[in-house]
Amino acid sequence: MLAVLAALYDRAPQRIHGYELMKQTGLKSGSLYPLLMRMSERGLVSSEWCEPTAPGRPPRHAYRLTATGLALAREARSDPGSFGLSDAKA
Amino acid sequence: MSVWIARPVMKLALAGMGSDRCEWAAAMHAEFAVAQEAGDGLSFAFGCLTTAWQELPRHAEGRLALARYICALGLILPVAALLLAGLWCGYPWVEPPYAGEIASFARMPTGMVPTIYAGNAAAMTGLATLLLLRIAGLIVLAWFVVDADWDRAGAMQRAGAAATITLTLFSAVAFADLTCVVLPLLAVGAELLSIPMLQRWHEDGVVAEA
Repeated sequence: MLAVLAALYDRAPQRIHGYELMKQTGLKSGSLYPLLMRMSERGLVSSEWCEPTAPGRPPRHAYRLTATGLALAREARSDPGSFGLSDAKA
Repeated sequence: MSVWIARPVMKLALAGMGSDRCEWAAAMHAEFAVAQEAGDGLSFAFGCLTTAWQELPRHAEGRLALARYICALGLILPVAALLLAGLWCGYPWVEPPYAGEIASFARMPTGMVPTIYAGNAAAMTGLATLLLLRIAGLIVLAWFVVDADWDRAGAMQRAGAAATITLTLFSAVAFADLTCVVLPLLAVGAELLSIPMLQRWHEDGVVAEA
């Protein structure tokens, strides 16, 4: 979840699509989507449908952190130790 | 090649997401098009399938679907396999030592050893065919249970019960030995207990959701 939080925080306030988020975090779809669902249920992530960029394409879901998610991401970045990230790059 | 596998896998994943996760299913579907263009379609589709299966126990619709699959794969099809194994081993003729064990399990009298002679040997083909139809019926029943088609499942159960009663009557007449119908009778009992319970749970769940 921390990788997703960090990726969304880096892009805030812009939104990011699911596939790009996969590439940015290195997570597979089988890990990313359950995380996004849980984070959305906890009010950390908001999603929005974006108009398709090319004709014939379906609208895509884009994600960004809510105020709660932003606060959590800031906290994780400032104090990685409390999130079990003492060795991680800040 | 992988596109031909990825698409049905993705379809399976989207079908398993359930109505309360339909927005997430649509989101996955849109990203699948992008992943396919990038050459990641297959791994993306398998990831989505994993997600769909992980999510199944988390919502009522998924739990009901899971229960239907467990009933079909864990009860009905193993019973069909057991009956098929019996048929393979020479049903309705049960070798005396096995007949004795089955009779002792079912607390039936074991005094008479069944014998085959010209008269009752002719009945074996008919009884075996009837049991084969019963096995085919169980496979169809498993499909109806998975599909939650309770009317057809009920009709199939009634036909199965009728076939088992016919087996019992004819076996009693032809072989004077009922050990060969113990397993079919147990199958009917398990079916009659489990499927109506599952149907009631399913209908209660559907009413509660509505």
